[in-house]
Amino acid sequence: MIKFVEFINKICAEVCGWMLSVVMILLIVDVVCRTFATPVMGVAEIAMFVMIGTVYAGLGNCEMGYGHVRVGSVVEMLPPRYQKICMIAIYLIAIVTIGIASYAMCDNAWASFVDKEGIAGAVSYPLYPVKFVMALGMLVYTAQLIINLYKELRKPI
Amino acid sequence: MNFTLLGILGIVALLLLLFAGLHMGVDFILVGLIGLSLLVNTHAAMSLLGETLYNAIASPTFCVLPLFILMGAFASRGGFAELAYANVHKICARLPGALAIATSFGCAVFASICGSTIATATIFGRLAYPEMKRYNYDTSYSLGAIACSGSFACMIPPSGMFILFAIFTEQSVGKLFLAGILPGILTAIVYSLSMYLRAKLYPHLAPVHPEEFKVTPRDRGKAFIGLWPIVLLSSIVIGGIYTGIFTANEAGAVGAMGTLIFGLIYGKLRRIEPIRSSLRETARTTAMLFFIIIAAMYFSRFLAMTRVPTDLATFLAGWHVHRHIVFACVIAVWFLLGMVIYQAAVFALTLPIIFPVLVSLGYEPIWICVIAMKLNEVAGITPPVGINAFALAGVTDSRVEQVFKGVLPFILCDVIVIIMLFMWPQIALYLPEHMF
Repeated sequence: MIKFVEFINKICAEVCGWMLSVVMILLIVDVVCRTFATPVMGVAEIAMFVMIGTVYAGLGNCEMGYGHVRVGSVVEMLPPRYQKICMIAIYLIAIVTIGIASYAMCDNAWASFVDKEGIAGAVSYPLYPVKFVMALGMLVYTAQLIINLYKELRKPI
Repeated sequence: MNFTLLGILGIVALLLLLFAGLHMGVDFILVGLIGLSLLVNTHAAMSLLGETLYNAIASPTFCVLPLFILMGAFASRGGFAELAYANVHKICARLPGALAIATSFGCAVFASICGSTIATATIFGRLAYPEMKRYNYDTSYSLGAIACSGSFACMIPPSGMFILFAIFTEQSVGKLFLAGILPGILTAIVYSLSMYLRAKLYPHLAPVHPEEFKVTPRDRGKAFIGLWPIVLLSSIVIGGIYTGIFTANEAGAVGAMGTLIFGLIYGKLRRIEPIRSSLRETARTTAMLFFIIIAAMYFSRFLAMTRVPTDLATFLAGWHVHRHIVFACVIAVWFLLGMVIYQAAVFALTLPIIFPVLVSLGYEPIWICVIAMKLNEVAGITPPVGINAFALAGVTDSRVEQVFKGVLPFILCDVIVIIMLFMWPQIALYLPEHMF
């Protein structure tokens, strides 16, 4: 299970990176086409969706490498036993909070699907696919937090 | 319950959980969620959370951040730092402290295509430190020069931190980029002067190496011309924004593509692995930064409902002291928080509250961001959590205390630059005011 979640996280980060390079190319194509008065419609919206996808699909990968910002200097001053207790408590709080946020996101994505929510612009796009990607990213992030809690529990004092 | 009291309790709880080790983003969401549940109700708090997770970043203008992070990731692995350092060293050869001055200007040149301070400090740590050791430079002098010069990347565009500022303060990314150019160059000059004077007064700190006497004026000329790829890329990016040919997003895309192409030409990015690791790094950094932004925006909605920012603004506006005293207090808060919290997080925490207050006191928004960025540079190198100092100590296999000892004279240089920015705000405002 741990290997599966971590594999998903690695794949997500890499796919997001490649998608970002596609956005980079699209934006350059748009600049070139605009020079000849034929701009590519909807590039800004696609870039935005990819960026949102990159953020949420990258959350789990970031947690996998313990990359999320936290202040560790105060906890590190405690004796090892209290450090461990503190870290377990922190992970439990994080799991509950991100679990609730994931539920809120799933709820929002479902409502978006039911209402056929979309964005208006030169090209109209439905919103629910990106919102489901966001919900999935949050769920994978929650799973990675649970894995990190498990690792913390198994770590010797 | 009294709204203001609830807001204050929220801020206290936020800081307590933060120092207990909770992730910054999670902390913002947790306190915001509980606070809004108490203020309104749980259903509304959840609904607002679901909306904020999307709406906080649902703007095409935010794409600028991952694109410039990608540009920096390609630049870090594409051999540009080596190019900048080798050429600037030849240009500065024979000057007292030549290697340190080359590091300062080399970092400034490299920062014009890479917006990450940690990347700049670690790359130059790997490049410059072994050379400085070979030339018998003093350890603390060398480490201090590298750590401080690495911090330029956040002031000289394209700066990732300025993009964050633009998001939090709703200022133009292009204007902020332009505002950072002159203060960045000024800092490089002040640092170099300090390195030169110290090397001149105390030659044992940075002895001149016999190899430097072999450099001819022709070599210097060649080295100057050799910087053309970096000058070209940064000119396209900044010039494109300045003249209005590109939007900031497009400039990021063009810059990332340019660094990739030059990386391919120089051969450093011809293998797939460095490209893949650049892409993974971009995804990871983007996720980390944006999660703080999203969570901070949710928290600031709770805070706005408690009226704490408005009450604070009213109090400070009615406080019968000179506005510079208020600003000095803000600087002290940023400086102290910057010593213990990651810089991006400090601004996520404080800008939504402090920025409107400073603007209402009559300060120019772009200038405020430049001053905040100077403090951000200082925070990256001061103990106990100067992140650049730790990164540099890691790559050079040195003790972090030696780095902290070495940065002390440069903090004085930063204070001088801050005073100059206060005395002549046009240093920061001239270029943005003349943007097309």
